[in-house]
Amino acid sequence: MTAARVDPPIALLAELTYRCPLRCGYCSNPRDLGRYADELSTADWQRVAREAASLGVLQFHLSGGEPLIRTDVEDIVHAARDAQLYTNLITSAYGLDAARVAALRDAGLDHVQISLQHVRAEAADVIAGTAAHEKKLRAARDVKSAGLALSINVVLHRGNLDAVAELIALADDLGAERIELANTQYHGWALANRDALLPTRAQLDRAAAAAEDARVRIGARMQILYVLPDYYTDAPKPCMGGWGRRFVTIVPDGTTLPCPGAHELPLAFDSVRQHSLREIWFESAGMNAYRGTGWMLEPCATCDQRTVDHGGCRCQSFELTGDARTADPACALSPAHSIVVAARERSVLSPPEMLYRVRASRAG
Amino acid sequence: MRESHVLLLPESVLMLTATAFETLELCDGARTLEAIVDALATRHRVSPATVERDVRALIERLRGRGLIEFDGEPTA
Repeated sequence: MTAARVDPPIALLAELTYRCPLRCGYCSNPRDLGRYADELSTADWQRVAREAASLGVLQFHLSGGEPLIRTDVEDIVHAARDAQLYTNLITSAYGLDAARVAALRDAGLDHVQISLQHVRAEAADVIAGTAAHEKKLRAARDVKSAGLALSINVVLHRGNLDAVAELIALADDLGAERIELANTQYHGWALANRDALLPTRAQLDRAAAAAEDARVRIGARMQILYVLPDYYTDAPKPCMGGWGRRFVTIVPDGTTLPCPGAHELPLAFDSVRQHSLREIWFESAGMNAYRGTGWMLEPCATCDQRTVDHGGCRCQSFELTGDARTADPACALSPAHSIVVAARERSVLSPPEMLYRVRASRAG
Repeated sequence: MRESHVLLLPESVLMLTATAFETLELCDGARTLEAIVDALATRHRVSPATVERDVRALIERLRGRGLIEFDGEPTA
């Protein structure tokens, strides 16, 4: 394996829990939530925050599932701020009220990212599988009233792409500094629901034009980020800026991964319950598996883009071809690109029913 | 650990060059653009015209991303 120079990660994604009151059909979280029921304690996460800061991490993102299901988010934020990390809460905002916003702000929280599913409650609640939209709007206003920075995040798919202009207007009205419009990535539930979610090319072209139009109109007041779906670009995304290069993810049970999807891969990953974060980042077999370019197969191994796109997304390669080392099928040069092209072609047909996670929480 | 200054954004990190950091340190909400240019020109013994060109370029980039706001329009 070619030795790659390994720098410390810039950002840490702390997935505090996979429990969530929403059941979005595009969710990329694992479908077998029971595996992750043994969650890290408050003290574990506080130690992780301190270890992250001393390793060189700058940003600490608290996510899930719905992180606010845990009552100790404030204590974890406090420890992360004490360690001088920038803290960002990524939430559905379900159950976020003015009192909790104030407590989080007082703990030192820097920024809140709230997800929306659509502009209208009826449509949004169908996507989320839960009545949540009105609560989210109230929470977004509470976040702004408390003086915190706000981003709105919308995962895009065929059910909401036609509302991009209205979604941007809504985020602007809520006072968000930033809106992230990211097309669905097909992992977890989203992969199972791919044919129900994948938009048509015509929808995407209209949405991209609407985002560009709003960008010109709104200017510097709100940053508009529009992420294209790799199923339509014929080029792989430089996933996570490369495996184990800039980002580290810790899932609810302490398993430490290069990205939130990597738990699907047949690799040996270590837990912060047994090892320090520094040790895992530099030494763990899983973290080192696809660093650099030595692991690559053709056509990646000799491709002039190999250090730019890093061969795309290892999880997508694994999920679609069974081998994580193959070129990402999103790439037109991948031998498995026909899988992506066939899914695109089916998008003009009428979509199947969306699969939702059953609400009853299973023991495990 | 890290030997450079960075600007932390909600979900990204902007690495700053030494001169960009020095300029932003002077952006304290009180100094005018002219005062910042003068301070840098004096400190580095460079002509104010050169410094002003660089400072404006930096500030316009950050302003375009909503990272700096002017208290009133800057003079042309």
